Amino acid sequence: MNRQFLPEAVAVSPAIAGPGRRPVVLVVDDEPINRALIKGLLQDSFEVVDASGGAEAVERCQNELVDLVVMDIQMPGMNGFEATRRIKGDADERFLPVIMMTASNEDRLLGEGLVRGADDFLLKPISRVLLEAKVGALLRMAEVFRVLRDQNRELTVRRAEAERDYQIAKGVFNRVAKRGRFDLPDLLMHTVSLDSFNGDVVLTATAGSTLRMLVGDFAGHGLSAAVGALPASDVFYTMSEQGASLQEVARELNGKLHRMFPRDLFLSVCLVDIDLAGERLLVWNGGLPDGLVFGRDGAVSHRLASRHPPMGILPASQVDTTLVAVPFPAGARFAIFTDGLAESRAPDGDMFGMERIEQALSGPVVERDWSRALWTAHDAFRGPLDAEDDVTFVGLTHTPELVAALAARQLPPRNG
Amino acid sequence: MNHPRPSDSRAGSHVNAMMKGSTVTVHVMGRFDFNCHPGFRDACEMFGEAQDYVVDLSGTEYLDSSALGMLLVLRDQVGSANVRIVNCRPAVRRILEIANFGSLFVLT
Repeated sequence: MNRQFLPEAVAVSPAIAGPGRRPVVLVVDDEPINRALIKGLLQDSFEVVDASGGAEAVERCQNELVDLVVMDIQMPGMNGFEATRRIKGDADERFLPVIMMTASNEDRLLGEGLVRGADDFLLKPISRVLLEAKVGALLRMAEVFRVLRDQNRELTVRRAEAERDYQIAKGVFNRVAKRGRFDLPDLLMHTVSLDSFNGDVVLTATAGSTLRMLVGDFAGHGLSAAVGALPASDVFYTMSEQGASLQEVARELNGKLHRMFPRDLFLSVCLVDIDLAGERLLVWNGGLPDGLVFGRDGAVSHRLASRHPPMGILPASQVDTTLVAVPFPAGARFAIFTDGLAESRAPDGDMFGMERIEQALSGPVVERDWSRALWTAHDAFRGPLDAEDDVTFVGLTHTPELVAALAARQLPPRNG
Repeated sequence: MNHPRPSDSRAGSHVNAMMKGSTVTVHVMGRFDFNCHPGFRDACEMFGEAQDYVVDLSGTEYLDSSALGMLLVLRDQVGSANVRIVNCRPAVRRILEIANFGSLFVLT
């Protein structure tokens, strides 16, 4: 893993009280007798160092490993409040507990100490029991804090790694998953967002007057979809360029995905040859909702139901590559879409469903992008699709313009 | 397939399993989706010596492609003849039929 893209490398934090090391307590007081007294109370359990003033305390905390500070408030020069503020500022993300001591029992002073960043306070004369209890409790809290902070840092790094992998996979997927010619007249393609990483794949290839399409939907999305899109696209284009039949493509694609994929990754897919000269469709549907063919009269003439499990599940030897052939005369329309459309739900849980889709697409074509009737119906049902929906829709009409565009592609380029 | 949506999954789904004789019956309640993954795996592995599995979907409202994947993994582990999927509601049955799971499992 290359870490140079990461916002922050894992920092090794100074252990507050690692095994085999006694916690270090810094005692700050301008009176030598007080320092000696407190040192005496703590030195059985802790490593004790001392400072005679605020400035020295700040410096020691900068230069030495200190786990906890016991600080007098009233000192000449830099007082305890200011020293605490600086020590806390220098400690940055680290939790360095400070206990303030004062001879005064004035509430005002104590309140001020806590507000200014001390974690606890003690009244002089210092009680051994209270001192030990407070130091112990704060050190335990600091240890918990350290563990949490380390875990949080590690999570941040992991998340950055995962995000980077995701972006790479998304980049690969988006280059591979929508390929071919989408500029043909009367070929409609809609995805909710071409940039969305939803696992939907649309590939097209042309051969003579036949337009070949693969419309698919990988189980899962993200990395698994990106991993699957590469071989799928590779097989589809290589074999189509070599003149392989749709059956051969179906067999090889299935075999390759079965060999490569783990058991829970598969491709729900419809392969179709749209043979305009022969006025027919050849279809292999494994796992997508019914493809719909509409006759010139606008009514559904054929439903191309899924007849196979999705690709990648069965070994090549068990794959049935029987195609379905249906007539596709001039003026006929074909629609295929992934299951996100039919499964789109209204707030009350009602699904958009195949019936509504058929109904919206049936009838005379009033505009060239006849899928708009579908989006209008869907918007009325649930409101507009958003980036959370995984919807891919491909539609095609057998028109003279489409025939001409495919024929033009076969001609050698004209000079001048 | 739709992304698993946290808001939906929190609506509650859970998996439980029981064994009678050598048959393990796994119930999936609510949405059978990506969030059921650990629960479903544990339910299937809880009884090491089981011969047959019945996946009872009577309480399942919806299943997504991850659920199909989990069923395929189970089939891979114990053999297709030994997994029965029973009591599907119409919406769930439609999803299984589109994926032609009738040719992969005993679907009743």
